[in-house]
Amino acid sequence: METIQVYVQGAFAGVPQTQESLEQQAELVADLTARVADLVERGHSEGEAFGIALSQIGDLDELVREFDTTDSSIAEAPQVVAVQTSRLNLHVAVLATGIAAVTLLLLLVVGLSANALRVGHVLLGLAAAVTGVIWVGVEVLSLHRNPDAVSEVPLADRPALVRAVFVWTGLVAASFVLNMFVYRNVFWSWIVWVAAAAVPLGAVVRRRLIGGNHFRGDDSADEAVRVEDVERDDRFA
Amino acid sequence: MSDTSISSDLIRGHIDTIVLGMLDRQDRYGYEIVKEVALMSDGEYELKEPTLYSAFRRMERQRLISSYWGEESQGGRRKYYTITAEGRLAYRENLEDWKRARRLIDRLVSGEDREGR
Repeated sequence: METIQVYVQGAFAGVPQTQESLEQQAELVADLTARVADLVERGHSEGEAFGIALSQIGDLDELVREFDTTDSSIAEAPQVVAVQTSRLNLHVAVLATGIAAVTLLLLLVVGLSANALRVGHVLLGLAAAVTGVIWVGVEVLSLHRNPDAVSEVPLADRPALVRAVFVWTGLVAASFVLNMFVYRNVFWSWIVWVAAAAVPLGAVVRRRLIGGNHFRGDDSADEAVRVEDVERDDRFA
Repeated sequence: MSDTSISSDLIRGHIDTIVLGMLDRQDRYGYEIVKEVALMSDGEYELKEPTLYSAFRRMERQRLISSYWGEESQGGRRKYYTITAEGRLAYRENLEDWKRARRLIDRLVSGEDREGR
């Protein structure tokens, strides 16, 4: 019935016509149409039935307001997703330390073949390797303790990325200053620079894994994806 | 305050549990739940669509339920809602909470102790 469509569209006229709000309108139209059909079946005229259905369904304002993206209380809600924390953390640790370790190893080999390395370089490299192994080890342990841990995390965690870059910059600066006083005639602090890059690398890897829908902590994710994706597009649009 | 509005206030806090319970048995569309609530309450409680759809949206964000569009029917396609594993868990917890609260409130408002004295 045309009138139903007009009524619902009128109620949603003041809010952005996103995919999400259009779906809600379609849902309401189907709902009202079924209601009117039920009333007609019970002997009401179509006009009567429409009036009764509207009074039964009640005021739509409260629902419509939820679609008002200019309403800051709703628009600014951070977008979170559920992830399998233990599994995600282990993968982040392995990938980040792996990339840093390969880079460090390559540089050490280059340094070695150029005869530019001292024993100290190798020892520092080993210390970095031990740190990496400890990180991965800690994540393996927590995976064993709680393999199915799920928690909600922000989809795009900018503050975490900024923090990680700060940590790396801090370590670079500290080791550089230390280099000016300890074994000052050998340039050794670059090993710390490369190894510590695993921290921001970890933040980037984590973000990519979450963004790529890996380790989502919801076994109905496949079914939910269609509607979820539509909603997400709206919010970023 | 009339009788119906008292019960409305009491029920409002349990809408999510009521809806989850209905989805726990089978997938349903919005109007179907409205009718089911009217039927089960002998018409004493009327669930309004805006309240129901707000609950749907909230629980979908919390991943307690998900939705899909069904076949064409008269007046358009129906949107069906289905409960997730997380939703089932939340439903069981809410149900247990409710049963505990009901026993406790029963005792408190009637002024009777555990043995009914």
